[in-house]
Amino acid sequence: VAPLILDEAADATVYRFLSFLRLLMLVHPRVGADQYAQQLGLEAGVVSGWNAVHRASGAETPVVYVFIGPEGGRYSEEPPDRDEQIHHVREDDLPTFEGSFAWRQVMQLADMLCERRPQGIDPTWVQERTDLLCALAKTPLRGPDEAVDERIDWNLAGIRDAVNGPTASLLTFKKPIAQVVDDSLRFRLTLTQAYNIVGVLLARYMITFPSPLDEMGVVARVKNQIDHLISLTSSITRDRHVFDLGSYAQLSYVGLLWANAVILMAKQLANRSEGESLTRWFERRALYMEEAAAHNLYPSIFDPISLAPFGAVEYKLARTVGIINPKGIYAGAGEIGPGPLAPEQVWPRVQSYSASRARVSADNPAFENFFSPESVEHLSLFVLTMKLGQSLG
Amino acid sequence: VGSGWSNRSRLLAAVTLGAAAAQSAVELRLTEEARTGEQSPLLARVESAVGPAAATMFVERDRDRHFILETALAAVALYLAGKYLEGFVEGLGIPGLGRKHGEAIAAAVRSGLDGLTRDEKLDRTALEQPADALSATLLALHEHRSDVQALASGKAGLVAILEERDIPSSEAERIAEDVGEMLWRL
Repeated sequence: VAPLILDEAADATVYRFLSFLRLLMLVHPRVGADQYAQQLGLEAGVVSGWNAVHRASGAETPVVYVFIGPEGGRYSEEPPDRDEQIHHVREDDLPTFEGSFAWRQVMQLADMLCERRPQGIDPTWVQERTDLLCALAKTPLRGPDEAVDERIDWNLAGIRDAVNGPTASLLTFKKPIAQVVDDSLRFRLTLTQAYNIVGVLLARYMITFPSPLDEMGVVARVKNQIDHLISLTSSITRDRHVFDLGSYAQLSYVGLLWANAVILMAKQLANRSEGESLTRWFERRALYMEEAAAHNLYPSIFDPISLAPFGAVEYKLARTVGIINPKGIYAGAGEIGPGPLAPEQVWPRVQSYSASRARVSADNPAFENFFSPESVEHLSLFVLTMKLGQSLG
Repeated sequence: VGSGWSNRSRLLAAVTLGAAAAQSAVELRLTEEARTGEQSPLLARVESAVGPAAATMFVERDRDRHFILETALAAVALYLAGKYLEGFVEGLGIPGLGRKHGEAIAAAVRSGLDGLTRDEKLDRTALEQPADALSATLLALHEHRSDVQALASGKAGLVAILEERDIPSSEAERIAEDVGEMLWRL
């Protein structure tokens, strides 16, 4: 893996462009643009009281209910009492990407980068990313993704070929996932595409590559792998602050990749498990990971405060609202807590802190250590079994 | 666990734009009301060690997701601080200390547990008094803060409680370690 990590604090335009890519490539460009507009107060989105969120076609659960009140929030798949007034929000009504404020921002930044050509970024690279954003924005919000399915099939076919040949090793299994990590950090895939590929591949590795030499059962293997990724995500979340700004941003992004791979695997396996305790185990792991991601990782990408140095609307928001949830904000921004900020002070502080910190290396465990020790053993034993079989004819 | 992943098309629908993203939007909308008021320094430290993800595992009881606010987080923090000290004092093995501080520790555990199990609105001030009493207990026990057996006992008890709530072992270990560290940081 050779992730894209630049000295983002050295150039505000580079940082803001990459930050917008992270925001818009996280789920779907239209979703990212809408989140940004909502955070800036340009779009209403959900309101106080009960909201029925009608998901776009292809969703497993067509409607979910979100309650927002002064005492807290609630998210339910069951409708509230009949007497409750419900505000309806429809995903299909999300504005087009090309008409969004985020789109205007990212295109302006792209123009500036093409003109200035800072080190590490050339106009072709910028053009490829903006073209991809616009193409992705036209894809459905939910439902099947042929590119994902094709990539999974292609990877599994390659692995099947390799394990029947003489050169199979642990790397045979590791490389497809490492390539997805690299592609997502270089914005060749959305993070959603990336974790769907990674989640399926990891689950397949644990479930469908048996070895008579491995005494550990399938369930224990899957559980170990899920807990390993939770632990990896937690380490990334804690340790990312000691690095420079570009490293911090990329580590946050890859942390979200692992977190969502865990959520995907745990939810799907909860649905397919027999026995209440096993289902509950997977559901609770998914809940834990969702909460950790929502509080610690999503704000690093979604919160406009992380876009300093600010544009005009962001500046106003920083002065009036400032930070709502300080978790997930780069430590280099200084002593931060909930409340308004002095916007002028944020970027110089970030730059000064970032300049004193090291760049994360490509061989950092965050990018490479995605197999649990038990998975390594399992896959190594599988390869060994295949080689034994081949040598015995 | 099922044997295959035949219907992959369902995967994209399962997580994308899921509860976590919705929560991010909800957090933006929640008023600052819940964040006002003076906070016990002890509770604030333990809250930062526990974190909202672990705290959620104590308050979720059904399929609906209740977005945790600071008051509920404070209740979990108080409960865990009390349970840690319960184990710590037990590990010290000095019966007199148990008698002397047992009441304050038990009151903290009770108040925290009450706060995280009740359905109606939690009054934050109900947590402040037992938290202050717990701070005084910590001060009194400060000379024992390096006792290896007591530290191990406090941590082990907390790890077991966290694991009972389905928090992964490595996370439980880390949280228990952090809670211990935060408690003694007077």
